[in-house]
Amino acid sequence: MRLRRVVITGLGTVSSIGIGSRAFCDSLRKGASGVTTFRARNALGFPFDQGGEVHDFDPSEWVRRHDPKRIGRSSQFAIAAARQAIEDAGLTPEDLPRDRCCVSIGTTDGESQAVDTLVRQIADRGIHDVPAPLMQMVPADRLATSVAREFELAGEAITLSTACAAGNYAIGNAFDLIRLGDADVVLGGGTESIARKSLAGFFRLGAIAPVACQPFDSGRRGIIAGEGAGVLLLESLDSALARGARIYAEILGYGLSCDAKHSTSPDPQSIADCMRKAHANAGISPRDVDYICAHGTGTAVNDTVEAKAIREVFGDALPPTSSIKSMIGHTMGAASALGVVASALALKEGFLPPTINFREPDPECSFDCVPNAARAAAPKVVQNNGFAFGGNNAIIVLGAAA
Amino acid sequence: MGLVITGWGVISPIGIGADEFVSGVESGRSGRKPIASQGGTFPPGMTEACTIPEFDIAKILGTKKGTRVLDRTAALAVGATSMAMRHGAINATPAYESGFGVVLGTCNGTMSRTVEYTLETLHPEKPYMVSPEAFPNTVMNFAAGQCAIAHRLRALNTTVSGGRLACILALRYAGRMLQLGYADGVMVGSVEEHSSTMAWGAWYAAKSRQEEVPVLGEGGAMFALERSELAEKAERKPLAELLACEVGFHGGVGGDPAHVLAGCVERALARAGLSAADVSVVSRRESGLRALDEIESRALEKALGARAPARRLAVAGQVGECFSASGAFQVSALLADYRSSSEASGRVGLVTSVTHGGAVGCALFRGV
Repeated sequence: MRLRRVVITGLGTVSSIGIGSRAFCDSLRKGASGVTTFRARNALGFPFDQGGEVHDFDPSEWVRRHDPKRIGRSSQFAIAAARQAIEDAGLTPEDLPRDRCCVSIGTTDGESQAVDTLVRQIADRGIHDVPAPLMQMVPADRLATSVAREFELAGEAITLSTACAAGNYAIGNAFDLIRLGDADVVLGGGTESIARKSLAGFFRLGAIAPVACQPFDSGRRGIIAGEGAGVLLLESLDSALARGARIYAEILGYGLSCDAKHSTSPDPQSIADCMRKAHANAGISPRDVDYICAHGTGTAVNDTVEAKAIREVFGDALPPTSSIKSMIGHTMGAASALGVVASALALKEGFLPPTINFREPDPECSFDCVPNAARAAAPKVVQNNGFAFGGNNAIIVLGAAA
Repeated sequence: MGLVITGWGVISPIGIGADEFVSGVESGRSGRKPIASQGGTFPPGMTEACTIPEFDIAKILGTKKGTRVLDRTAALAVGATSMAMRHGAINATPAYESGFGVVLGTCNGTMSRTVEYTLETLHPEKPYMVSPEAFPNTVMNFAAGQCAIAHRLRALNTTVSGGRLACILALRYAGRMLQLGYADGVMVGSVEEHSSTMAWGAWYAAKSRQEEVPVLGEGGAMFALERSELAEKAERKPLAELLACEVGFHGGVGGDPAHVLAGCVERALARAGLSAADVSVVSRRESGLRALDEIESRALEKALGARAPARRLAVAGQVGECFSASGAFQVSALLADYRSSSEASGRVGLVTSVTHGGAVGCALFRGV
């Protein structure tokens, strides 16, 4: 089976630290925090008020083929990030090979704000009297099909709802489609908007930090909920070279595993297994990894388990490992997709994003977490971690453009 | 490389388990029942649904252990997975736990639980007094995770939100996973629970399109899909070969979804090295949703020619409109057809699916 090599030629970002990958990159370099006091109605009323909300997102700037009011916020984010990725790749939507262009989008809660609004209407008016268009926004498959409709693409349009690892799943799937020759271009990534049930649920689990997200810090108190989207334009290496495209990075491979143990507590063995599978799939060994873009949610348990798995696989040769969730919060289905964007930028621009809010090291997380300030570097191989409730893990390995 | 189905677990309004399902299809049994008034109000005029009141997950698993946490969607998925694994004696393969994964198709997971949970967060003083234990159920990948936990299936675990196309998308993804070696085998399929939330969703969708509201149903199926050489090594007898899955999207301006679906069928046939004349049986959605049925008919005419295949299966009249489970029942109808016939070997069967949103697709099988 001859498999094609796959590269990233376009980046699209909607985040609390910047809309557009240039702004996102500058913020990563500065160690900027996108965490602010919640403004959106569906986030109000809880005994915590800090979140990684995306402010000043104007859907009419990005959404051309739909009435933005008829699609949910998560679809709007995905379309915006996809449009940016297409343009960033030096293409127009008309350039895309419609029959051979696919869309692969990951999410945790789908159109969560449409669900929140719908439920509020059900509570206020009764389920017999809610606006029909609101009902029609809700199905999660709309995330991928909205992007396909927006750019008139005819290939596979798939939504992978693998919770907080979904971005890696969707990008991994995109990688496979091109590798196999089932697609020539794929818009792959993840999207999420703040969901009321997640705020309540994580809070009840004691997993929400009151002020800031502090991954790997001994005083860490949990996640800060965030939102956004990361979408990449992926194509074959040959195609990118033939048209003289700027290549950010190559996707070398990815690995999948499932804990199959507990619905919320992660299993370090399964995560270590996932890392090994990712390395094998990418044709690398642990010592080749120059930087890990961590899952790093900032909860007591995730960071300890992630550190344990990293030590298990890397032994004493621990690469610098930072968490961008310290800056943008936990963007759920978008998280690992934004991690891939950050990883691609790290490789292309030559820097390591920091873990901000870091004050007190935790002896259980003994690696260099690039504390508080970004660092110039020349990574050649980057690993991007994605774990989730349900124990479905996905890890992507990226390499510098040749 | 050949991909084969070696295990089949089906939970349907016309029978639980492969034997009952097959006899239900053969006898034309209807799954329609009056809607029991548990769990919420239903839209005006909706008095019947193809539900499965006799579904008892503890009975299927042979134990109550681990079942308390399961919502109905997760219970259907775990039940069907367990039945499929038993059916194929998957546990006879050494190291099956590390080699097998799960790929589950869904709409939005358990919408009834998600709506319920979110309603509780609207409490004015204490929006966070929700149950911590019930939170994981509201995440769309919960059911797939429970299938894995029930059988320690660790190779991979993916949830596909594909609406009515979910099962075909899941089969296609699972096929890629096997082709590229991410797993040795995959428990793949889709399930849907009947609920007041889904019923209202269907009602609003029908009203906005000025269509009749279909009779809704629930249930689903899971299939053990693996590479043929591994199945042979494990001495598992295949039920069918999966030859190809092709999907596409038409939701743009102008153009024709039937054209896109016909293209999917043509590509699937080309991949399998077959022609239209080779297709002997078609397992259609044909769910009574006029617009979708019409697209399906035109696509099949375009792809297969005016000469209709010998057999045409449409089980939706018996099991109802089952959203993401519809594909699982269509595949099951094909497996039932293969089983009922003495000449199934080599018989090529086509499963097609159409959605309102514009995604379409098909899966091509061959009897063994």
